[in-house]
Amino acid sequence: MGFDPTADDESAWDHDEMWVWAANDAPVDDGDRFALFVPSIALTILREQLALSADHLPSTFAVELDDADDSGKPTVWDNRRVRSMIEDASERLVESLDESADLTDLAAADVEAIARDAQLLAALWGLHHAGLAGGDPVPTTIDETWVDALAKLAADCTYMLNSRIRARRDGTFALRWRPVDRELVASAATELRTLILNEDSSVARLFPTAYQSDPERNAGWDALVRRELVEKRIEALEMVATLLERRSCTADELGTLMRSVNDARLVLGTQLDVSEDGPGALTTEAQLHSYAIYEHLGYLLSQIIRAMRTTV
Amino acid sequence: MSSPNVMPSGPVGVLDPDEDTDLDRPWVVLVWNDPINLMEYVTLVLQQVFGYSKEKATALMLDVHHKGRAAVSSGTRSSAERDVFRLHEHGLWATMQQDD
Repeated sequence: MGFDPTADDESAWDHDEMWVWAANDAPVDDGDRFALFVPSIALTILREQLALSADHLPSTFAVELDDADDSGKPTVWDNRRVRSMIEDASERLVESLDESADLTDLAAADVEAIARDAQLLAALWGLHHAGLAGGDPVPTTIDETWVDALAKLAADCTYMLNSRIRARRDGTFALRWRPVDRELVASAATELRTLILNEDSSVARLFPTAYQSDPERNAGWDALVRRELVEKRIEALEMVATLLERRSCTADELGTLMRSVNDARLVLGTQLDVSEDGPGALTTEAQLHSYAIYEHLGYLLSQIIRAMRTTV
Repeated sequence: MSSPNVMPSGPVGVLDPDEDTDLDRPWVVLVWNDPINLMEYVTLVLQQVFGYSKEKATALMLDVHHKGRAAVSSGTRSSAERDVFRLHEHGLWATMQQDD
């Protein structure tokens, strides 16, 4: 997968495709570096429309927002202020995305600035395209899809700045754990290891039967695979501790981590009696604590899955 | 796709020679709905294990979610066992049965 510059992208882009990646680590620890890989069709639209839109700022731009203040009056932004915000953001973004700019080696501050400007422009031009901003209608020369490109650019920049697991173009991953991640994942992994080794009943979910209703065959299945499944899981859990101390890993290692985090989440969810409607009764402090861990593991798992999507 | 060094060998050779097995009828692997696994996780695992496209894996995942189960692969008994093993390894609830 990934971006194929020769692909003939007719109208839109794949929204699941990541536009922002982690650049390979700098030799000295001078902060994280990022790389933008925006599909050429989107980049072209952004550059062209930014240039065009600068000449077509509305003569009046009255934004009425729903967030009425205490007096009950809607917020109306001053036209000149909005215009100058658009102008400034456009100018900066045009410069950031200029053809001469190296988009494959950006500092976090650069990515933050792009996210901020793109988000602002997406919001304001989005209102304008929708006819909600007042002022002159948007000229037909300005294609509405650029708002989508701006929003996607902003969202991917923001996501990557905050993600713990950041895909790199070479197929490896930068790991940026926060203390809470290390603490919760490590303790969940230790706990799960103990439960598996003690053959605790709560880990039954990790070793399902293979036949719906055939006790004899299921016993045969269990005899055949249980040991291998246990060994693989214990091995994986032992690797989790090392990965929590690392700054990067391979796709295989991330896959192992993903399965371990999912295992821990499955067992916690089973213990908490999680159904489609959420957890069962959370009456004790211990249950609330477990549920907080369950939620955090789910949050990290989503980030791992999103990063892993670059490999399939 | 995962690279070969994480591919489990999976169980082999549990065919019971005495068993009355109709070799013409393929074995089907089913994945069952569970309330804990994340939808995007199930989709990703189906892509990784079977090499399915995102569209196909998503459609199967939605079947699991809405209908309670979906047939994700079929083949010989040993291929079904291998698939079930890999799905169990990933924490999915999978079973196998011979097609009617």
